[in-house]
Amino acid sequence: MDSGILAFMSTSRRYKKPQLVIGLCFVLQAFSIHAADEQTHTVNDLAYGVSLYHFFQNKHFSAITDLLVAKKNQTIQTDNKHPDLLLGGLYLSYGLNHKATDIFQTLLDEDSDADIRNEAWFNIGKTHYRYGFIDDAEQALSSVNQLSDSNKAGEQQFLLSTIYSQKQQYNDALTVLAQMDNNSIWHTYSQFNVGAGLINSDAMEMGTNLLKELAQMETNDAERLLLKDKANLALGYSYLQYNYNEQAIQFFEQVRLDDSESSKALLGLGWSRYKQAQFKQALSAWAELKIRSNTDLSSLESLTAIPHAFEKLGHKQQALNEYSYAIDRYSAQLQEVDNIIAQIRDGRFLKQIKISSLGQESITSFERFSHLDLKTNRYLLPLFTSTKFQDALNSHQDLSHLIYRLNQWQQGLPALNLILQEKRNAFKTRLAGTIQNPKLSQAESFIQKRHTLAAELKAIETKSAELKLADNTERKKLAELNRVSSQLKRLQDHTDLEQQADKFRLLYGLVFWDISTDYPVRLWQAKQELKELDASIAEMNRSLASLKGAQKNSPAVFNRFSQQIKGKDKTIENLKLKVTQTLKEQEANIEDMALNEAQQYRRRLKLYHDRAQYSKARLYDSLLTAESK
Amino acid sequence: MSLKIINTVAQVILFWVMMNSLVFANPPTDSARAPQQTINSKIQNLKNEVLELNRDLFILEEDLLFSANTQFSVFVSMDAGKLFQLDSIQLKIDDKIVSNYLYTEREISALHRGGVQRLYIGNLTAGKHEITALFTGLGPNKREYRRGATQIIEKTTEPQFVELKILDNTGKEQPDFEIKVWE
Repeated sequence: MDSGILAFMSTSRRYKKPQLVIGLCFVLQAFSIHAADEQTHTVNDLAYGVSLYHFFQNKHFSAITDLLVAKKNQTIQTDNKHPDLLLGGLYLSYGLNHKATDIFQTLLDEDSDADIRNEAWFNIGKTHYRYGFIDDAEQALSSVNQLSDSNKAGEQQFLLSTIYSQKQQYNDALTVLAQMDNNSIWHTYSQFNVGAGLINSDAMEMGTNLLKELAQMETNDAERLLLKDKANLALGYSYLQYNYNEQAIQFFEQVRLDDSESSKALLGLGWSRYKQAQFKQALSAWAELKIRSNTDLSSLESLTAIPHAFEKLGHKQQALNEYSYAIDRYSAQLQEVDNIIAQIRDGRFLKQIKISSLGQESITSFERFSHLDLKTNRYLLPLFTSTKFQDALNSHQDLSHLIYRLNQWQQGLPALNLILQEKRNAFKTRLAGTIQNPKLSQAESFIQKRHTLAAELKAIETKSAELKLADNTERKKLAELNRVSSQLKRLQDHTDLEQQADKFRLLYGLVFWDISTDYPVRLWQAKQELKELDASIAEMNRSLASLKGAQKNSPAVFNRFSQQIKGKDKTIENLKLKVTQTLKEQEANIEDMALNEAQQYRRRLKLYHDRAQYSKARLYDSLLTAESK
Repeated sequence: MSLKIINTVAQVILFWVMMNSLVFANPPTDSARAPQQTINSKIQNLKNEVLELNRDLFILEEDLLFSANTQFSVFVSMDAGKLFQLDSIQLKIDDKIVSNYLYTEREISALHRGGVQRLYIGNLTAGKHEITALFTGLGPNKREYRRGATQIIEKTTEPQFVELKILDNTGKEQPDFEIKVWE
């Protein structure tokens, strides 16, 4: 697969590492919530964690819903991370920059701590910058005092230096650059942007000095190597512009041949040689470009540059052949671009994108373009990788997902109605039956019995009536002893019963001893049992209150549910219509973008084609004239 | 104008095209953004409207299906997760399987980064219940690993939340599985 296609396929939805797209194109990293990978996590708040779970899967809609539900139900327990900061970030990731800004603004109005305020200013600044309001962005980013996250601090400085460069306030940009951490990748990006901006503003020496540092840096890091190539390329073209061709060659030669910038470097190298009348060397650089079958401007340009160099060398026949070859290549490519334009116009292009993303909440670039023939559509790769087009596709996917959700709810509402009906029926039968159950009327007598028992226990405790706490066996024994005592009293005048009376006293004493020594324990146990009884009665009372509450409130609750379902039905229908209409507009917008890109490419191609044809005719003419002489 | 001059001019123009694409910044202009801005605002409003509707319906559905006094939810969380690579979880309540969940790589990654998954929501009567979770995956040394965790819980008449925690016991070099009842 083409390396450009591979690079393109690896780009993710909204969470890109900072990258330079082309030349001095300012980069912006989408809102990111940094989770500490490889660390342990202690869950402080389930609702917050559930929202993060969806966010980490790029399911922004679900993540926001979870947080909104938690906020409305008041189930979120604030831990060290402010939930509104997360919500604002989620809105930003979901493309709702207005809502995000509102939330961040609220955090500034509140008595928030300094960290929260700094985070809020930072996010407001990023949002404004992303949407092109650079004055507002500058004001917000300048309000940040300090960010605890070093990566965010680097990004804030990067954005500020970039804004100053865009406004050509290079002194401010250089001041920010000097304050940045030299080891941070943000510093490298800023240095490139400020340097390129200075060159662009004719401050050649300052600009080239900044870029030269990057061009000479020692690194194995892929991102820095890419920036190093970019710096070499920018320096090469800058020197070429002022005819410092030798210096230009040195910088062009530093660009790695397998890098995406190498085509531009080869073209520049060829022109530098050409300007020094080193036509053979120019040809060898362009010949390398010629065999590359990619679609970038450098390759296209090389096809006409080669015959031009041959002409300079006096090899006119070879030049004629090369012009013919270029015309054939341009014609073939024009045909391919025409096919793409036809595909865009008849809807096939959009269909290929749509079938991959329909209804899905989260999708990777690989999945999104899995049905698109990327080889055929390779002319559109610069568009596919552009933020503008990616945003448009994301919006399209989000709208498709909204329709999917609305359909789901529309289909689910009858089920909710059914459940509600079941609940009403259950209420009528079971709850009404339960309320009328005669056993419920016994509740009062249970309470009365409890009060009697409590009074009895109190009396036992007050009078220390140990025998009242005798168990059944002891009661039987006591009853037997009482009977014996009565008999002894009755027979005391008739017989000598002293021995039996002693025995009775002994036995009674034993039983009384057992009971009275165990009295404190028994009294404690009785009190405990009374407490348990109280708890059961309290639970019974709660259940009774709940039943009575249900009896009283349920009809109103059911009616409220019913009204909510009824009202939502209409809302869903209206929203579906609006979303469907907007989806169509967005589809037209995507097609327009693709069409513009293809047509723009076609115009360039046609220019090269016509120029080659013109040059061929001119050369042919001159050969004929020479022959006739 | 001679042909040679025309040709040279064309090359110079192309050369400048190349220069501009390399060095000049192309910040978005307001005029270029105007039509997209309108549709973007429309999309933003619609997204917000659907989000609010989704929130209300979500709450309505939960209120209808899971009354506050019987609501019972089970969540899954993971700490570093170096000693256990989760594949699936089977959840039983009172010996009845209520959930069998097979994880995708993205979900595992989300758990690793500190996300919490709501595995189950249902209704449970007040009283004692036995919760059993069976974790399947790869343990230390990439060996197949199957472990269970059980706990008796006392369900009250308030909504109850239970967290299944997958922890790394670095001392034993083994994963630990805990069930935590949230108060």
